[in-house]
Amino acid sequence: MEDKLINLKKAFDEDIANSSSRENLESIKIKYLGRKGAVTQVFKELGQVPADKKPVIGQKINQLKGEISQSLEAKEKELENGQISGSTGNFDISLPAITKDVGSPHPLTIVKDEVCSLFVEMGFKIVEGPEIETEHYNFEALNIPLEHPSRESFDTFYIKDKFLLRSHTSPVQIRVMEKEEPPVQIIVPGKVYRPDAVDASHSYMFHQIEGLLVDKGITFAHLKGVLSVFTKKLFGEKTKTRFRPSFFPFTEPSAEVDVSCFICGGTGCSVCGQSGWIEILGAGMVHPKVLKAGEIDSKEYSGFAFGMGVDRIAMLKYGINDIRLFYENDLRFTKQFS
Amino acid sequence: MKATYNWLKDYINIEISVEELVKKITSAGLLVEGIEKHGDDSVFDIEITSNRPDWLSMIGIARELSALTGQDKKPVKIYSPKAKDTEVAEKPSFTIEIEDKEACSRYVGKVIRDVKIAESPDWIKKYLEAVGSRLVNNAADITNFCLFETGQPLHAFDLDKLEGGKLIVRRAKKGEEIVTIDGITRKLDKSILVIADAKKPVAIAGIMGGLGTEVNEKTKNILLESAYFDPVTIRRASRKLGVTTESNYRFERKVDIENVMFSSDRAALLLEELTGGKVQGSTIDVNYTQQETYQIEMNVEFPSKLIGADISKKEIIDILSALDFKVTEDNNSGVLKIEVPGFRSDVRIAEDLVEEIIRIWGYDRIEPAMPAIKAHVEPAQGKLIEYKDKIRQIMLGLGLDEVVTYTLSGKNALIDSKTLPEKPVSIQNPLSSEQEYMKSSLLPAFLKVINNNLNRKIKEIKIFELGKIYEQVKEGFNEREMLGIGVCGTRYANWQDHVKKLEFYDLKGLAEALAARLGIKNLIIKRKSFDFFSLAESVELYINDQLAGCLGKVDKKVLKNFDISEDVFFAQIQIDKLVKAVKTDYRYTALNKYPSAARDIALVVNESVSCAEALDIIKTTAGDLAVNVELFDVYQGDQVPKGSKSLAYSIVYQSPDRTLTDEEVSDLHGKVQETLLTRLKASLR
Repeated sequence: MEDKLINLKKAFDEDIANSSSRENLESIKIKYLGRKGAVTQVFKELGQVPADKKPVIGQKINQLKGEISQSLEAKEKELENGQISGSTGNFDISLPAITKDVGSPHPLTIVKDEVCSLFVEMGFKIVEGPEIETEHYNFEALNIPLEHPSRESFDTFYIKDKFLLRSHTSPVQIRVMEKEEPPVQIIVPGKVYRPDAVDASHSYMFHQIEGLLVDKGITFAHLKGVLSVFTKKLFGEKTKTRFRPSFFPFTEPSAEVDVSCFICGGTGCSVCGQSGWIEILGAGMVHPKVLKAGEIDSKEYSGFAFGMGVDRIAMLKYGINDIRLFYENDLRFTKQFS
Repeated sequence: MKATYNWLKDYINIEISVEELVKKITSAGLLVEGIEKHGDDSVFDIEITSNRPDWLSMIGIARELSALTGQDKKPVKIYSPKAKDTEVAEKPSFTIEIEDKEACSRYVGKVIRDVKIAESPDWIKKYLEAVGSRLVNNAADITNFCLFETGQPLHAFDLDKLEGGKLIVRRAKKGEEIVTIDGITRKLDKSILVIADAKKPVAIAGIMGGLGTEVNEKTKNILLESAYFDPVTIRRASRKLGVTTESNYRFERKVDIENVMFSSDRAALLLEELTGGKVQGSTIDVNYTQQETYQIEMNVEFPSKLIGADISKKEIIDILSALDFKVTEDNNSGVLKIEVPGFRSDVRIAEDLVEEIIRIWGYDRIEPAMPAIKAHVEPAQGKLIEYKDKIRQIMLGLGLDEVVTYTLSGKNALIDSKTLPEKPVSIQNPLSSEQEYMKSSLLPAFLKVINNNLNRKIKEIKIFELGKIYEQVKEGFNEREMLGIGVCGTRYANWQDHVKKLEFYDLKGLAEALAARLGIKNLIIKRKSFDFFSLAESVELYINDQLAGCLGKVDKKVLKNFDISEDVFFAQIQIDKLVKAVKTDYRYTALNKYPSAARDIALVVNESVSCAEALDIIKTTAGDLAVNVELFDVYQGDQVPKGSKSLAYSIVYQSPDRTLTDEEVSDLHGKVQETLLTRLKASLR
């Protein structure tokens, strides 16, 4: 009988060591402690044990039962905690995660948001305007008269009558000035259209961001100040900004704004055409005729305006060499920006 | 515009290096886009803005360099009739008439006799080659040389080939033709200005000369033309003919009417020196009235005020004078009177002068400053812009990828996607058939994106766009901001869960999740058929009883038109309707502290019974005490009779103010069960 108890313990120890699930543990429990279990069975056999040995054997059976209960309990706890003490089991941490879908923003929106929020930090208000515009807002009010050579660089899609697809975001300047009293301090993102044949660097639809600040005493120095802060924030603290005289019908004086090449740092590379500079913005002091079109007295107020191409900045910033990628929406492309 | 280092040095004493010169003119607004070596010379490719025709000449750029370096300009030698008194007395042997005086405000002609046509001397050849001008012969090369030198285009006719002893500047007649010097026959009409002799057009004014009257090695006598043509007339003709030359490029940007004679005299001198010819008679000058000088008054403090830098009176006067403006000071009143030279018709107001001053003074010397920023009274953006961004973030959070699609679309794509509206917005001048219409739905563009991605073997496509659709309305056009959602392919592509096709309910779930996140409680769908959706899976979306969009499974035929063989689900929702319904005024209600009891019920109903019908009965029967009802199983198959299905609901009963007894719950649930069975003719499963 004593041997039997020893074997029983051995068998139990083996069973429990091999047990790895709660279900399995439950069946072990039944196997040993159940109504027809092995331990119950030996209790029943106690009657056949000689009377003098009964107390000793009985005590041993009870002790065995206690041990079994204890180790079952311990094992149960271990399984609850999900691990077998002293071992990682065969839990495979390398199986792929049960992924949650993560959507990817479009790179053009990323850049648009980044640019807009930098100007919002500087006190600008985000405004949008219609894409179907009139000749008045797109041209005349911006000092671009018909038959003027400057109108050439604004080739335009026409719809009918005086309606057209805006060729720049500048019409919104006029719309806002007409409605609001200075100070006017706006940043205007949006789609613009020009009938360009589509290739790696041209798209008939692209995105611009326009800025306008009109108030008393606004100077060209302020324009330099605001844009220098902006370019540093967008391209890094070390970025240098260069203002070159240029011509836009709606600003006077006008400037092209270059930043030191953020690829080579200004020493010259293929991105900046070896010049060390990359053209980023057009800017200038708002032309008095434009202020007048916006019903603002140019004797009392002055202002500056600037504009940039979102597609161009995104291409430079992310090293994208084909503008068409933005509009093909190949998800393998988009996913790179999540 | 091309200019060379050596050529520029003919007009100014400069000792600066090529690099320094490039840096200087770039800082003044002449952007050098490239530098090339040409023999011992350096050629600059310079971008010239459309307001500066005066820079389309060596003399013009040299003027700029003089202002920038303080070096003196060298005088340019010209033909001077005074030295040849006897010839001046002689009447010109030729007449010039201008019929269209608006289109030609000045025409200067010189007769040069006894020329010897040969090759040009090396120095002219070198210069012209460096700037990429074709070499012809000494006479023609001189006209080209003067074009680059002075900015005034010239033309030399073979005088003996001009019939009738006269030239007429007139509109071409319908049916007239001319063979130009490039050998091409060009059809003319009355929109095109020509130079004609007594019989025929001999040149297209300001654009190109005719082949028949071209100067060649046999030419003995020349008529030299220098004129001012109206920019608009020349531009229209050049567009119509599809020709762009160095000549019309300059006329279109406006040449200097005073420079017309100077340039003629310059060419005459060179023709006499290099071809051995002699100017005969006096110069013909037709339709010329001297231009009034343009004057601007400017306060000396104005530049400093507009720029935010200290620019002294002396600096202002020095710079403007160097640029050939005449500056006089008005009795120490602080007001300067500035006379604008004729070649600067772009300068008309004080702001223009300020640009001139700071260009030379140095944009880089202006110290950046920050404007005083006023505190906002209004929010930094309108509600629509704010919520567009929120909606975008929600859609990204729901696992959709953002796309940006073209606004214009071909007519076929609209027809193929069955989204061509009655009154589409069409483009008058599309570049291709892909740009005929503005889109009236996001669907066609989405189908293209989905097709592209399926072709690239992408299995799970879930995209969204915040974009506009366009329509014609009574008073013009309407642009509507839309949220488009498109899904196609599989979901749950992982090792644990089964691969499952994306379906109608996925898209419905996305729309509901968006609404929930925006606090919109009242998103309702109603069955409604659309041409582009399948009949069974096609609904309208309502928010607070207002139509806000559509959602459904894209029609098989439409998909076939876009070469898509997978199921596609698409929804389009008006942003303004979403924004209007956004809830921001939340109020707290006390949390229920009484226990709840859950009961399940499984019904067998006719397959035509909708889930919503059963749900509605449960809710109305149990009232507020049914705090949550969830459908947890829908079954159709062997376990239920044919033509029927099983719906299983879990109902949670709870009272806000007391503990419901077991008996109460059983009674209520019994009532719910009873009503369901009778009303739906259902049985328990």
